Amino acid sequence: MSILKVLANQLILVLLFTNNLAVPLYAQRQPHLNYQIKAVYLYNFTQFVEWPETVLPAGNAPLVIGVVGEDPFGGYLDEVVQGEEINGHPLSIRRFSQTEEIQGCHILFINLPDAAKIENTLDRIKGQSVLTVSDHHEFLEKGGMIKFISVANKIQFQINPDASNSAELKISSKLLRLAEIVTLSNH
Amino acid sequence: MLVNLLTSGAVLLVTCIAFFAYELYTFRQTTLTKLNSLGEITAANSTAALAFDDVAAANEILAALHAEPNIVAAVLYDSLENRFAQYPIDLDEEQVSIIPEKVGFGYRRGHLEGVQPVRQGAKFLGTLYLKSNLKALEERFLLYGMVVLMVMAFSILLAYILSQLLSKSISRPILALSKAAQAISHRQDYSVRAVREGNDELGFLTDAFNDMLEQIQAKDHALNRFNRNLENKVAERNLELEISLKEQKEAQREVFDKNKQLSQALEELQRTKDELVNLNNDLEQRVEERTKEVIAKNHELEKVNIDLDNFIYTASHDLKSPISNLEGLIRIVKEELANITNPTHLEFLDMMEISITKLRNTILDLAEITKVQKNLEQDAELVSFKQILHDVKEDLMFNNQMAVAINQKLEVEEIYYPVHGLRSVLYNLLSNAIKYRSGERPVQINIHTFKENGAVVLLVEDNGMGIEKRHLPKLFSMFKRFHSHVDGTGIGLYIIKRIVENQGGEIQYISKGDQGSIFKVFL
Repeated sequence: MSILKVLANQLILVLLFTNNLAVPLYAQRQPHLNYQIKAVYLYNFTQFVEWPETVLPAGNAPLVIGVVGEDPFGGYLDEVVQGEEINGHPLSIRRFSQTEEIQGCHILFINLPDAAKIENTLDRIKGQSVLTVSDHHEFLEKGGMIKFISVANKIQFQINPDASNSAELKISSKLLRLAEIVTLSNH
Repeated sequence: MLVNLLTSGAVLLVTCIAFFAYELYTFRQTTLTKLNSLGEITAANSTAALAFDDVAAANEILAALHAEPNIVAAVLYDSLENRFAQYPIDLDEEQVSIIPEKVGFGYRRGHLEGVQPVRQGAKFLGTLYLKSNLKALEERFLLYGMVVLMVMAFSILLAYILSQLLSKSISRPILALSKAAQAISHRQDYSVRAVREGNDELGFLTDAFNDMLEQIQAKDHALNRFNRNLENKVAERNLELEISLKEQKEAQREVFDKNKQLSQALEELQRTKDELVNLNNDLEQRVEERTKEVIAKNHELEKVNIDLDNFIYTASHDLKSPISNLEGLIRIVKEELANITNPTHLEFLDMMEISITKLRNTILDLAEITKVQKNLEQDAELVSFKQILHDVKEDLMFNNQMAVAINQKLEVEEIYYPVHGLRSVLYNLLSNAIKYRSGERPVQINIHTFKENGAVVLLVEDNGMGIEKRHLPKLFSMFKRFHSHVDGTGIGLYIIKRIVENQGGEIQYISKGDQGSIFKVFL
């Protein structure tokens, strides 16, 4: 992904030239590289996942990426999806601070520290055909669909196809192929 | 045989080459299409890897291309044209330094290569480059070449074998048949027969051929017989012809002889003709001479005639006075001797008177004749019948004092005629009518002039005593009298005839028996 490379280069340059004072500020403004990549991945997921008609009707209904919990992407996720369309659906970001607020999104990045809360959130949105993504280590056991992992300094992901299937989401084999498939019985 | 093989070989070769070319062409197309498909499939599969920057996955995907052994290189480029993944893993820079610009696959630089964009939906993620060698094509080419050669070799062999087989059962019998036919027509020997080989259609043909020959032979024999017959007949005829020819020749000779005779006769005739011509000429000459003589004589005679006329005229004229004298003298003598002489002498004197009178009359008539002769040369002039008749009647009245009924019907009133002649005619006719009147009835004369067939006719009819039949031939002769009891010299009708005939007319007598006469004069 060239964008990532670009970002990486940019980041290195910026880090080289701006030190000290800039760093903390910078750290505040710019999310961690990992999260930039993950943001891009989230965007990419939209290309490799099929939502049912009922949730994402044909036309130009917006495809919503939701983030619940603390937003680790900063404004980056917004930058990534700015002006992008998937099959005519414009992309938009929604942020929820509370689980109860969650509504009307197609992808949900769950950034909650508590496994119980995660489980709660997952129960809440069960049957709504939402692609659930997180980097919590117990995400898949709790019923999540995609979990980001770091392997040899590279961001990769694990997918539980059962979870996505039961939510009537179709994940493209191309994506599955890149991922580590995890089924709960294995684990 | 060789020709057959060559032709079939050539045909086969052409067909094979055609198919060969076609196959290669389609194979090239197919290969291209396959690579194209492969490119598309690979590109589609690599989208996720590119999107998620998974080089390992991308390499893995490209590595699957090893299933197609002819692919020598495959490179996946990201959207910034940086090399992302490659196959084979150890692919060097050199091989793929030049990336073709255009999207699509084609045969370039001795390889089949091309470029396929990698898209996910509408998003351009990168580019896939594929390069394949042409080994498959070459192998195909070799394979086909081999097949062609094999097929050809086999076919030619098969053709050769078949032709050998067929020649035995088809060509040979046919050749044999044709040889037989040739021999027959060559030597005219119809006893030759073809040998039957096999039971098939050719055998049937052979049988038919032989049948035909039988027929021909039979016909030939018949023809020969007939020919001989004809020749005999011809010889006979020839003989006959020779004989008749001889006869003809003889006849010809005869004809020739006859011809000669005829020509001789002709010559004689010619001679005779010449003689006759000469004679004719002589005669003509003589005739001419004679005619001349005659004419001369004629002139003489005419002269004599004229002299005679003159003589008669002169004589009559001169005799008139002596006769008058004689008459007078005799009368005187009679008167003188009336008392003296005896009656017999007086009778003699009477008889002398009578004779003298006769003499006088004769002289008068002669004079009349001469007058007439003279008047014959008179010219014609327009005369009126009425006038003439009037004059004639006066003369007659003067001479005859008796009742004469003259009835005249003058249809033609005038005529161009000599005056004196016409007068004489009428005078004589009327005079005769009166002279030879019947004693039983009064004189009735009918005078009628009319035109008949263009000529003027004068008809004088009387009721006198008529003329007997026996006198008719000499009616118009000179000095012919038939009735002696009346005076007359008998020259009247003669005169009329001469006058009328001199003018080119004629006079006819029509008898009424003893009831009278009709004189028809054509003037």
